[in-house]
Amino acid sequence: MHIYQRQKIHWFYELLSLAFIVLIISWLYFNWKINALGYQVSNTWTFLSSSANFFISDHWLPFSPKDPTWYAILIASVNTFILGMSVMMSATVFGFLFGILSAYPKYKLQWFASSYVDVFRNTPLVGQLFFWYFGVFYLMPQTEHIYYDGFVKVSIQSLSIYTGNLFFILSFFYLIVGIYFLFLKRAFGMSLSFLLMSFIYFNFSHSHYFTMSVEWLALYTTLTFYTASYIAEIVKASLLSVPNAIDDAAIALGLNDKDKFKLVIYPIALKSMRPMLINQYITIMKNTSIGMLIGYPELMNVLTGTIINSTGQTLICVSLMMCIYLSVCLFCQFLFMRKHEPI
Amino acid sequence: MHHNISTFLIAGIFKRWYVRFMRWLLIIYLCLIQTIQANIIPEIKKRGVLNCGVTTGLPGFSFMNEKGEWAGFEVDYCRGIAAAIFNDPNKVKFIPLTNQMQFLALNMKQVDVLARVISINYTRATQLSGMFPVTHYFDDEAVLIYNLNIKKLSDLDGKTICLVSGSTTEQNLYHYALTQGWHYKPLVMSRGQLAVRALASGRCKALAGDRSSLYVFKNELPKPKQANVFDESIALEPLGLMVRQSDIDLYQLIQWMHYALVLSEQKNITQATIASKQLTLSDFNEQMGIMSLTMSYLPDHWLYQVINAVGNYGEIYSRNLTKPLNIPRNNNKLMSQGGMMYSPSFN
Amino acid sequence: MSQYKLNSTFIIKVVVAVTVLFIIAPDFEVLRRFVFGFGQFITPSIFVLFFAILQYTLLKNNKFMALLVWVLIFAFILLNIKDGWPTGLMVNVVLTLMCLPMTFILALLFAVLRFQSTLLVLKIFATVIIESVRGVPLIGLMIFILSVGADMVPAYWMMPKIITLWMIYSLFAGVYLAEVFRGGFQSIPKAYFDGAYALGMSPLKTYVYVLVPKVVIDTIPAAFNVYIGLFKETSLVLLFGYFDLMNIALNYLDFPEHYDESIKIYMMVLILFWIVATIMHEYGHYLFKTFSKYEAKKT
Repeated sequence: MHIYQRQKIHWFYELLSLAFIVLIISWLYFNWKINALGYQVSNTWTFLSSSANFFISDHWLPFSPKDPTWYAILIASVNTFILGMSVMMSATVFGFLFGILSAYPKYKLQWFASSYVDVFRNTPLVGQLFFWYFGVFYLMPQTEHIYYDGFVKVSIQSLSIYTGNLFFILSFFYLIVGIYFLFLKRAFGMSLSFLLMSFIYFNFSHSHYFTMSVEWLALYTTLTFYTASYIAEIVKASLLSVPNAIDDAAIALGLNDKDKFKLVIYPIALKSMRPMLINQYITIMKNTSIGMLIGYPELMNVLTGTIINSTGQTLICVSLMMCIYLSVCLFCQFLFMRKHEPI
Repeated sequence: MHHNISTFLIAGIFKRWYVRFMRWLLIIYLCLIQTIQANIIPEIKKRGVLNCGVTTGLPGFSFMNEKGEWAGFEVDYCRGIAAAIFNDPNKVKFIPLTNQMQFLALNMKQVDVLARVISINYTRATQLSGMFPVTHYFDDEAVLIYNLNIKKLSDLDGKTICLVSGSTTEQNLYHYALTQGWHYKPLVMSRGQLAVRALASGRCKALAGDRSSLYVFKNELPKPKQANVFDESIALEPLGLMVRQSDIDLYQLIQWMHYALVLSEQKNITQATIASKQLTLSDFNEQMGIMSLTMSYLPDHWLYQVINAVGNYGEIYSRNLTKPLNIPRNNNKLMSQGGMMYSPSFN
Repeated sequence: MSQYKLNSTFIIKVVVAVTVLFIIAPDFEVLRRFVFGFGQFITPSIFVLFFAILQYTLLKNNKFMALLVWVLIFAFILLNIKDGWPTGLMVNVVLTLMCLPMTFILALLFAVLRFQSTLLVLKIFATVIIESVRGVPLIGLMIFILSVGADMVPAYWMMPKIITLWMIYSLFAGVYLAEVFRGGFQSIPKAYFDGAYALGMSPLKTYVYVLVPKVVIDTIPAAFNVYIGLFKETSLVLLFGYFDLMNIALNYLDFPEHYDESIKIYMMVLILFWIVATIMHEYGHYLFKTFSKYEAKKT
């Protein structure tokens, strides 16, 4: 906005506003001090290093209750992060599919794609979660009548897929790639993520089955369908926002339909949809917190449910929870952002 | 003059009002600084109603009956407190709370007293904002199994066990399993009823919790006959009401109200004998051995009002737990009958 | 004045949804309990009346009357809030209605403070608040405000639960709406400032009479997306033991004899939410059509 002249600093008003904010914050602080006098709460961080003393049913990294509490928090954060990442991938695929289908009238499935978007965008996430979890996934066979055909095992407890030695091979491959990246310049982050993936895959390799609990599946399904509807809308809007003249120019160059989409329209649309997509990815990370309602041990459930309950350190746990979510969101933003990209 | 765009911005807008605005804010600020308040009963009296935090629905302890009224063992305790303060057991507002929100609600002064089957333990008594006046129900933690044939708890090794979040069972079950050397997978549900649903569907094989609640949950299962509450107990769970640590007066009221309820059962003083005027106030005081019942902010005959409104401990118990739900009295019998309920004297 | 035509697909969609709702509902009593909770029919009908008046005032462009009607709605809600009310779908509707004006005011304030202000201190303050609210999930924000934030106001205030929820939801939606308004402010051509200056308007008058109306009307579609999001998020009040639509459905499904109806009941809940959200969407569409045409004619 500051186009006409250099900005002038109004020192008097700056100080006055500062005083105003300090006044508000001090008011809140003194109120808190007085209210906290009513009960003696000792805020200590020592509980983080003492042992956790609870089980976590789903974990991607090895965990035993004897491990320190900070490690349990890390386990829960990894649960949240991996759930979010898996949803990101599948929701992007579904979202692009439905977005492209609904953007072009020539596809016969346009009505289907647009009604899908309509239904999933206009209903609450909590309702959808309960629908999938208690409505659909609880119809899976009981443990006594488990479905097993040599490749998948399906029961109300979990879904297992036969992987054989796949994870061991993958783990080995990722380890090699990770070490290779370690010696390259400016690829430290890349190498670290490969090594982490290798470590996670190695933990699966002791069993020949890859097992997912019902809670994980329900969360994954819900979040995928929910977010895909948002992404479809973004994709559709971006595709439609490409000017017709560009379309005509591509035809004039003699490109066929497929090449026109692949080489001209899609790259232009991708640039305008990028910020909105990043926004959606961050929203996914935040939405994983509804796992609390069905007992999936993600960050919110473990930190503000179990740990507060066993230690009573409300202030520290709640602030920690907010900090972790903030940093996960900022990390995602950092992961997908490119600086100074022209649109 | 070419106009400067920054005059359109926030400092420009408030140029005229800003200082006046700030002056008023300072005055308001000074007015809002609060003082510490020590006693809660005068405040409750001024408000005209007692705020009582209860469960979202646990038959026998606190639930909404068919008439849409709150009823149950702990609801009667709240009514007793209201009777002591107002001489009217109906001046209570029942606020249903979930496990996660219970202590926050007490902290926020949304409720004066929590009566929602809270088990007493060290962390809660020292680290949270509340304190426990008295143990009004001796409970223990047990496991409810459904559609499962096992003889002892350690046969649950490797199975999924449902728990309700915000309860002490999480730690107690862990320590119990640790000492016996077996493992389980927890499924921590946010509400008791969702855990029952998961148990009924076979998602988890057992449900751990307070024995008193498990008897209730057992009746909510599709086939109660196939369910079984284990006799083996995981841990002792004394239940208590909870008040804020600043409210000493309410603390004393609840503590001695409970003792009076127990003592009146011992002396065979029932609601009926008082309501039918068989027992006058002086007779009542004489039988209970009360010298003088002075307590700040309360009338001298407040215990008489309480028994008149809700009856004695035995009556409360049988009305809410024995008759409708067949929950045995076990440890909650009077000490003379082999239980753990006793009362100090009112001298 | 109105260039808006009622969309026939909208009517068909809603009629189909209502029909499906009546078909899958186990009986009428259940449906009634889901929508109105344990209350009566009378309060919803008063709401409809209020909205008819609001609509009339909007059409007549009578800002004072519109404000008055909002105040009336708010007073009506506050006077009626008691133990048994609202319940059912009405909780979600009432909470959304309560939050609308506050969200709007907060969003305008945050947008102006963060993106328009020259005062660095206020700018940083607004940025910190906006980013920290946007960075955490709503459940986390609720837990934070209810546990730590509750201690930060004088203990004697004793705010009712619904007022606390009202503040949380307003803050949450307001921060998202501020982003929307930011876009609106940025899209205003510089000529508007010059025009207002040429007319001799003071900075405050420029804001009130030129910029804010323009931004508000331009961003109606995006703003209604935020409002619909807010409406959907109100289903989280079940964490507080509030008997909203979701919680009443869960209570209905607590009984073993209803276990088989799970899919049906959850579909009913989703359809009810969907109907209200669709109506909100169409209403936003209507407002945008009406007012953007009006703007175009005026300028």
